[in-house]
Amino acid sequence: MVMNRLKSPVEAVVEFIIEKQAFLRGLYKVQGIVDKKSASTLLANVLVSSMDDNSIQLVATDYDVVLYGTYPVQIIEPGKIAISGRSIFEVVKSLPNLPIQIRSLPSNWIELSCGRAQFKLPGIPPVDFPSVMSDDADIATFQVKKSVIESMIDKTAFSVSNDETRLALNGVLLKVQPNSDTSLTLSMVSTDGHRLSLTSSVVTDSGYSGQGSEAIIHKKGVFELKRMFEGDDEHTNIGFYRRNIVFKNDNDTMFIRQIEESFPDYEKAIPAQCQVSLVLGRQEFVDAIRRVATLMSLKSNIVRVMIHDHQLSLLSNNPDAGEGVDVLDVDYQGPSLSVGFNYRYLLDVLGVLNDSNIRFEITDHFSPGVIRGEADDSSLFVIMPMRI
Amino acid sequence: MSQNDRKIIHVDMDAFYASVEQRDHPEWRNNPVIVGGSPDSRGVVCAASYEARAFGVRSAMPASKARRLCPHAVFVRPRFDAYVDASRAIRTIFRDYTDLVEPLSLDEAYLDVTTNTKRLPFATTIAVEIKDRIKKELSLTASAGVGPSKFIAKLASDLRKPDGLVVVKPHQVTKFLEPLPVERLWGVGPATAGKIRALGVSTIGEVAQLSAAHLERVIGSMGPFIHKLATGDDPRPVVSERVPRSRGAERTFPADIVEIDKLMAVCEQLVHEVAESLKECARPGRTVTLKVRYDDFSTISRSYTFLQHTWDENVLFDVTAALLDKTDAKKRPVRLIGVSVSNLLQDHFPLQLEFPFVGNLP
Repeated sequence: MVMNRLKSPVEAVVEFIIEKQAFLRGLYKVQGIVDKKSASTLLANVLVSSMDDNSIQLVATDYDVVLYGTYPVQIIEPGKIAISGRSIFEVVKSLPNLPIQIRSLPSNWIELSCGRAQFKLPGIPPVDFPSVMSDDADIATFQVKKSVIESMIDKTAFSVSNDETRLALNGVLLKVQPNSDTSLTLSMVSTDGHRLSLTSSVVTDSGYSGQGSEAIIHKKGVFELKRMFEGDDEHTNIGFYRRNIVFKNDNDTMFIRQIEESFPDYEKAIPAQCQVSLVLGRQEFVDAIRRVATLMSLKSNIVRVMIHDHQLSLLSNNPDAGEGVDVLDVDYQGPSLSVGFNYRYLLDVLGVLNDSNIRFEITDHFSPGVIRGEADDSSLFVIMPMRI
Repeated sequence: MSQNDRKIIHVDMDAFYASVEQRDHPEWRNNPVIVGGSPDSRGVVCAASYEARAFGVRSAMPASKARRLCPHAVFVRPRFDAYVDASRAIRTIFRDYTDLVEPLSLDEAYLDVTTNTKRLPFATTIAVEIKDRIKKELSLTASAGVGPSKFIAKLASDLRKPDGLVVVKPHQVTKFLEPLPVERLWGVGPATAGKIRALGVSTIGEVAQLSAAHLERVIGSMGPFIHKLATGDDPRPVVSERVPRSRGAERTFPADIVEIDKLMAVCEQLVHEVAESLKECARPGRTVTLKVRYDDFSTISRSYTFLQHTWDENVLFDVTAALLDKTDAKKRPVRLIGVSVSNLLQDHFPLQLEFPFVGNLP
């Protein structure tokens, strides 16, 4: 690992001209990473370094995530500056759509001019910027369409746990399995202990030379990836590198710290078969849940799913607000069944599925329920019930 | 049924822990017995027999002071198992008469016998029977108070200890309360009593003469309730099953502890006790609070709230250890440490089930 301490004279002059839109795009991408709570920490800064005659690189990190972005500029004097990512973003956002000239001043001040507007902003010595993973390492990667990764993230990010005592659940498990042909299978899994999301995709012509691998991607990075993916390039390249998962686009590279825990044995949580399997119109199901959920109290989000012959009823009951019921037709005949679910968990899943019909499978009031697209086996969602 | 038709008994065991010790150690009978920490340590008195009380020994007094007051007393460490056994036996007797039993502690309970399983018309008969049975079956004595409310019954039981029985009938309530000092009002401690006495009011009868609004201005939001009590009106029902709000355990050390490993070991034991206690009352909790008292008696607490209810010992211990790390425990000597779990699961609250693998997470 090249942990290069950036060596440049503290008061070197640096000067460049950059288009407002390009700069704004770059600064926007680091907003989720720079520390916005306390401007005094080093992590609140973004490092701007000249690369060659016509590009700069922006670097931001919160130690869990490092983002490198390269943007076209006109370099007048090469060098580096480090400045509060938050304040320069706010300034640039306010500027007219004209070229921006940036120049370093003594004592780490930075001067920014655009049209007739001019700002002076305090920076920090660039050498003080935290050492981070170098972006020029030689990493075995495979290529995937950004839209595929984005869709997989959408299907898993919502069920990541926010409970910091359960570190292993604070991220999305990314699994890469090379197949016998040149393709590979990419899977993502997340669970907060109450629900689990699993999605996979076959990537052809990935050009991957690495081995099968898996890692838990810290949720911070998962949420930042979507921001990084806002761009014209169609593909991203993924690799594993020194306890990090790396995503490389044409102009950006993101290193996301891997969570050093073993992901739970989630496969056992997926029921092999459920007692009852129903096909429901996704939108009808969503509408009915929302309808009965209007009476839900903040504390208990429980909706009771009752199945009788040819009918699925959704019931909500709140001692303070009253009760509600809605009924959907289903193709079912058999004993009646009643299971309680957190309605938000149901809506979360139905919100990330695109299929017009979904399959909803349940067994009894203490066994997990399963939801998937009717004709789509690539994704699967498991939800534990609520004991009524 | 109007409030005044209720029949409430308050039963209070006499010098409970000390009496159990005297019962189990005949050689200690008629001698002063002090249950509590060692007089050579910083322990406190849990209970003192009536013989010891004659020397001025009181509960919660430092054991060292108790020895100065009563040097010839028998000092014994508490045997909680024995007290819990006795307490269970007493509660079994209570439940022979009514299901409406509200224990306040091991040695004290309210009984609502307005309707009772033996269909006895007089609460006094029941109180006498209960006292007799406690004496015969357990060789212990209790004092009882009978009245139309919890407040009156409790005042009455305290009046002729030990082995006393005081009955206050509804029409006697006003006369009964009138001469009692304001400190006898439930919820009135030294501070509140001082405020009331500053008005030139010293008896409950005089408090009843004040207006509720006046009392509220003087002592704050408790004013109207205290005023009601003073007029003999106490609507609080006897609640048989109390939903616990928290479960906790703590230790005061014989000598201050500096070593973090020792503290960790104590925390582990405390967490174990709390987890067991949570399981006993079938209520997992969400908030873990660690209390640390330093050598200068300054006390701090640190807490953490889970997203999910738990009574898992490992989970609770991990958090407790992390909380301990946030204190000055490594740098300063620690005198007392306590762990409690609150935010307990309530009955009406639906419980979100977890995947089985959650239990195996590190």
